Amino acid sequence: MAAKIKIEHLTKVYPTGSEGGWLLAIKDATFDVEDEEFVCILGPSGCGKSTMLNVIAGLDTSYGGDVIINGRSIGDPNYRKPRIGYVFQEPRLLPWLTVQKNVHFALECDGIPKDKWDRATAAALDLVGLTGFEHSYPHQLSGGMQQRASIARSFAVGPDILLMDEPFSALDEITARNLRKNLLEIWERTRKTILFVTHNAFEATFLADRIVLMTKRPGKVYEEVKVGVPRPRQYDDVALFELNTKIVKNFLHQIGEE
Amino acid sequence: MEEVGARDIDLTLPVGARRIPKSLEQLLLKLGSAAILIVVWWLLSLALPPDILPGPLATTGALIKNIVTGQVLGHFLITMARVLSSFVLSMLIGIITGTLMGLFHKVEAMSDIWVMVAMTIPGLCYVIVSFMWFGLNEFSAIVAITLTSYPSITINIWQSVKNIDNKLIDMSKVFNASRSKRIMGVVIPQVLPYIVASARFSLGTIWKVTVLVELLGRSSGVGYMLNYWFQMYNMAQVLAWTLLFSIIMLFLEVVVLKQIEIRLFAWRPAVKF
Repeated sequence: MAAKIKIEHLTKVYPTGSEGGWLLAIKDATFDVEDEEFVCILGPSGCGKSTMLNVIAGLDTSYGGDVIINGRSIGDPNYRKPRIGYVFQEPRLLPWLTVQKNVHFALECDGIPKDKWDRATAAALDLVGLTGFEHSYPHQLSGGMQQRASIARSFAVGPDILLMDEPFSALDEITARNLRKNLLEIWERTRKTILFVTHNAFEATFLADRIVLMTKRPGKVYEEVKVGVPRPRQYDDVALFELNTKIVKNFLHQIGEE
Repeated sequence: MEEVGARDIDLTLPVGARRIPKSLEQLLLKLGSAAILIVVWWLLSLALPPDILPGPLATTGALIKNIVTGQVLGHFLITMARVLSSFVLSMLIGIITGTLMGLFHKVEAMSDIWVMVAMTIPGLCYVIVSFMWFGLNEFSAIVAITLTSYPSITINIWQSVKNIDNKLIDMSKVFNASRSKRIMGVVIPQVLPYIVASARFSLGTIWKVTVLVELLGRSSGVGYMLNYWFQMYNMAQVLAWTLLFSIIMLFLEVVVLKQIEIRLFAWRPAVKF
């Protein structure tokens, strides 16, 4: 079966401020994401991971190489963008709308008919455990709750692909742990294709079916590791810990090298 | 030495609880400040001769007499008509030009110096030139008032559009928001507080320029009446007419603008400093 997302020789160059200088952010990145797979991209800060998500999501249209989604290149004029959910590092909720209206906003943008909104919103909020907070404004919620609302928003539109850019890195470890467990529960139930970016090796090991490892800038995919540990996974699972140790050693070695 | 025991602390109310509702407290504060102003005015009027500063009683008396004898309504309505039509026009021009300047670099590069020039030209120049070009009529009057007041709205809106959070726009793009949805759903709500602020100060400017325009080239309206009583050297009447439109402005502010502000910005958290 063809991969859901194929990244082929992706290259990204940024113009820098100084006299027509160029910054090579991503260099020839190639990997696949299969349907219903949970893939983590693990790389140090500044290696271009977020840029990759932006290209896949269509936010960034100047790049080299190709991204093929559902069998069609995203640059192809006949490409129909699938429903994409994107959870950013910050919640990015519209502050003048309640939680419920924030979810409605995404549903409206994605062209989902109005009569489906209430059910989709209620289901999504229930998934993340925010039932009862529909009419709260973002500023009335804690950071973790805001991020949960952002996740709910992404799920509500019924996405084909879920892109997550270090969504828990701004939260404290306890909240982050709960949200990771929450995310896996939701994923088990709904089986979306998830591409999750992180710089936290343990998070990647805990969450992913497969980890794609990237070098320092210019980011290049240098290895892929399959996480064979069966689900549901526990934080204190020895197999997980051992695999993580190997990955961290490999990771540090790789960034130490260049 | 007295010891403070648990019984001395009122445990039924949380610390800092209100004994009267907030809206009542606000109203009392405003009425209190008004009362203080009236008292200060009265005291000053006692110290100065009546043809320099008549007191609150004389002024209110003149005002009531005007209202009762039907002199006020016609002039007041005509001034209001000029004010409101210029206000709507200036806001439209200001919001549209400001938004275009904020969103498009080329528009900004072309217009920024001219908007600054337009803003610094004194209202009087617009009035005189307008009357000379278009004649002494309503059209000229509205043109002059609008031209005087739109530049500061443009600048305000322009800066606020540039200040908007791009991250929210990116978020809406990911969910496939159309361009119009992005502008209406993400840009405008962030610009709305600045629109309301612009409405407030432009209303103030427009009143001033309208009165000036009426004084210079119209034969009706509050400005015209002010000039008339000035020629008659009747300070009480001059103050009465000034008082009249101050009250109207106050009314607009409290009943209209403040209510709009409360409803539009219910979502904003209080600033705790």
